[in-house]
Amino acid sequence: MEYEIRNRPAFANLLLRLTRGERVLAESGAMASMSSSIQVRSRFSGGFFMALLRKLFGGESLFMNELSTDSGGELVLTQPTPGDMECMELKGQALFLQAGAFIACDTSVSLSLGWAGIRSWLAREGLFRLKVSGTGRVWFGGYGGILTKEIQSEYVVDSSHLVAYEPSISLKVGLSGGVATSLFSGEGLVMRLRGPGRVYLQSRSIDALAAWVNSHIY
Amino acid sequence: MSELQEIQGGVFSTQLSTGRAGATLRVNADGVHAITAEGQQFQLTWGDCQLEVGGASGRMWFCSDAARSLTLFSESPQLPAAIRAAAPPPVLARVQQLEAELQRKARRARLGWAVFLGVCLLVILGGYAGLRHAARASVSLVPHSLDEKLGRLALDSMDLGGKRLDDKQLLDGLRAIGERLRAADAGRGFTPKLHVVDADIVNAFALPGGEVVVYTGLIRAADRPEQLAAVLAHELSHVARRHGMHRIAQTVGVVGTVQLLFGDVSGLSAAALALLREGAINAYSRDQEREADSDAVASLSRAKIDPRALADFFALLQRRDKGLPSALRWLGTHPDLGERIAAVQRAAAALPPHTPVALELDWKALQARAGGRTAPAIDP
Amino acid sequence: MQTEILARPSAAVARLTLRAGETITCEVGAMVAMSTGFQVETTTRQRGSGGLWAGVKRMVSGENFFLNKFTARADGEHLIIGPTLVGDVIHHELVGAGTLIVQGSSWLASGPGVEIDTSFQGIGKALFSGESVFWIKCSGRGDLLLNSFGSIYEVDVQDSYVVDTGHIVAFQDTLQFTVGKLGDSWLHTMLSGEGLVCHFSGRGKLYCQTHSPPGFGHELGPMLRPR
Repeated sequence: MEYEIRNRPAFANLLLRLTRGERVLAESGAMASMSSSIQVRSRFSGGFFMALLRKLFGGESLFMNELSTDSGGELVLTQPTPGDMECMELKGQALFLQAGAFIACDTSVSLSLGWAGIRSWLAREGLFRLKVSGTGRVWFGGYGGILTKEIQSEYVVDSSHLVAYEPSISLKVGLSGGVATSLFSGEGLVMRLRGPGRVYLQSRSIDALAAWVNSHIY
Repeated sequence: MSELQEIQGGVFSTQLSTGRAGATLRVNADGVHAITAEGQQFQLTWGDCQLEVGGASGRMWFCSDAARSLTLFSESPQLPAAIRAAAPPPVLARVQQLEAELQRKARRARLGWAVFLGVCLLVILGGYAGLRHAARASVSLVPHSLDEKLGRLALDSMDLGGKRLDDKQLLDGLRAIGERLRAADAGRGFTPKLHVVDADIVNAFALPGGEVVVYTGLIRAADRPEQLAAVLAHELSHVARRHGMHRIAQTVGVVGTVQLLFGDVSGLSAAALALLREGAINAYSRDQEREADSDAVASLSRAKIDPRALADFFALLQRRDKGLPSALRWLGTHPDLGERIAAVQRAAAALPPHTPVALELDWKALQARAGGRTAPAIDP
Repeated sequence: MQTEILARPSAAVARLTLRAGETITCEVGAMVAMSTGFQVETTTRQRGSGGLWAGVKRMVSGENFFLNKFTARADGEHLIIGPTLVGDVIHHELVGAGTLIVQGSSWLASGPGVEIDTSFQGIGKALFSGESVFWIKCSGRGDLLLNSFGSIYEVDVQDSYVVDTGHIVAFQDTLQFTVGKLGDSWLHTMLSGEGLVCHFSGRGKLYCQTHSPPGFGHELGPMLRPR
């Protein structure tokens, strides 16, 4: 299955060319356009109960779409926010994805929901995180450009800018500003990461956009 | 020779095309070995191996060389176990050190959780206590006119259980008693507005602001007008001390706090009214009833009415109300009548001796107007 | 009229230079900047779909479609117009052969020879997602400017093609279409609120956009304060 990420970095979209018998697993709503020879099967991602947990706590959709073709076809997958996409080739290792980052993956990749811990919840990154592991490619994206950073020791990241990170990275939530606002609003909370490992960041924050729009509503 | 345990993990290496891969780890006497899915092999001897613990779960073990160009890692507890079994003393010491650190962290985490839950509990309990105090304080900021407005609104909208009587003689009689009490400073700060409702209820109640409702059942049942005066004095105390407002503030306080936290305070006044109407606050707390009792004794004595009339009235209630056995009566919001009788007797006895002045009323006529029945005979 | 598209591909605007007497009809709010020699008229109708009835039909279809007509008083007057969302702008020349059906929020401006008909609402409202999809039929001769959320990509449909409704910019009316569900489960369509797609068949050109305004709206919307 060939892939091409077009229109980077502002409006990245994934063009997949499937040959006969090939399949890909895509996030619900990711499909923009496709050849009519592509069949779509919806399923609860990881079973109904897991899917429900993912929806409630992980911010992911309840469903996943499995796209396959008998005769070959083209498929364009995209994400709701304008921004860049990345492809990671998994060779037996795993990657944690923040809510909404996942776009698609080879069917050989396993998806599971991992407990993200109270710290992650405090940083408003959800109680659960999506773990992709196994072998195969996974495509994910974010709002804005995607910055990749290999970290060895400590690194500080604003939590709403985190897209994905390897399990070898430890996360600690810390305050960057005053205690009162940080505690109740979640703003001013930063994540202190410690490597070794790779972390993917997005250059824009949808939380910040929402806050900006909110401030202009009245 | 037993098979070496295969441990699921990964490799970070500059030699890998993407820099990382999943791998199967094996630990033996030489060191730690890893084979990736594609067959690439990596090895760290014990001399090179530097151990660290970390990762997203906090329990990932890392073995790296000094230059950090090669790192073997795994989240499985089999890795530290295997290292402990096969490694030479210096590495072993390091493993023990790291494990001790992990245990300390786990203890701290447990402590942290305990503290967190403890704080939550404290906040809940303290919040409750603080709320009562805050409620009391906030009522003092509210003007009396609000009491009167609320009381009037509640009176007009609540189901009184009977018809309001407009009988001039009855009302005049009541007002005469009321005036005597007011002259003795009962219901201070408020003007009592007396109403009579025709129902076979041996009770009277007061709403915030001074609206007092007396049931004809009470008038018929009382032996002497002094008992009616005692009940009025008790109710006027509730009015003067704004017990109703305090109850609202306390109950609404919880609702209100929640609303304040999440925005939207528009429902508070509606809630207050609803509470009044449903009589939820007509159930005064035990402390408030005790306060009203002692106030009544004081104001009755100032009005030159025998305060023991209050105790007599309670005794009357006791005789009529043989419902709940006295052992269970504390379950209700009214303290045990027996207790109240005793309290009133004690308070009356503690007063300086005085001569009561009788109420100038035609009590029998009043009772007749209230229903035409004489006081019920005392049960044997 | 000369058309120049600036700031492609992420924040494109169209810079139009008109001769004396030339007109261009644009969506209200599209004007970014212009030289002073323009006469502006706001209208709810366009030649060919005239009158009150057309306006009423437009109102009934759920979209208030008001138009600004700019007339240049002299040669060389220029006008810069642009859409709301980040994305691209393209210039499509209608040559009198066939009609282009444009998605409502993708129509930016058209020249005087282009007839705009909004009475055609063949696809109808997207029942499950709760948004109304609004279509504009453009025919005649002249310039047509379209905008997109995200980048525009063209698909030459030979046989059949499937597009998510929020991703359609415009298509030639030689294509037949039906609206249906994406997956095999109606439950999915109802619960996820998306999943309605257009199945195109026939031959013709199809313009798609890489991002879907309703999709972005669903992402951002829940985070906004209720009014």
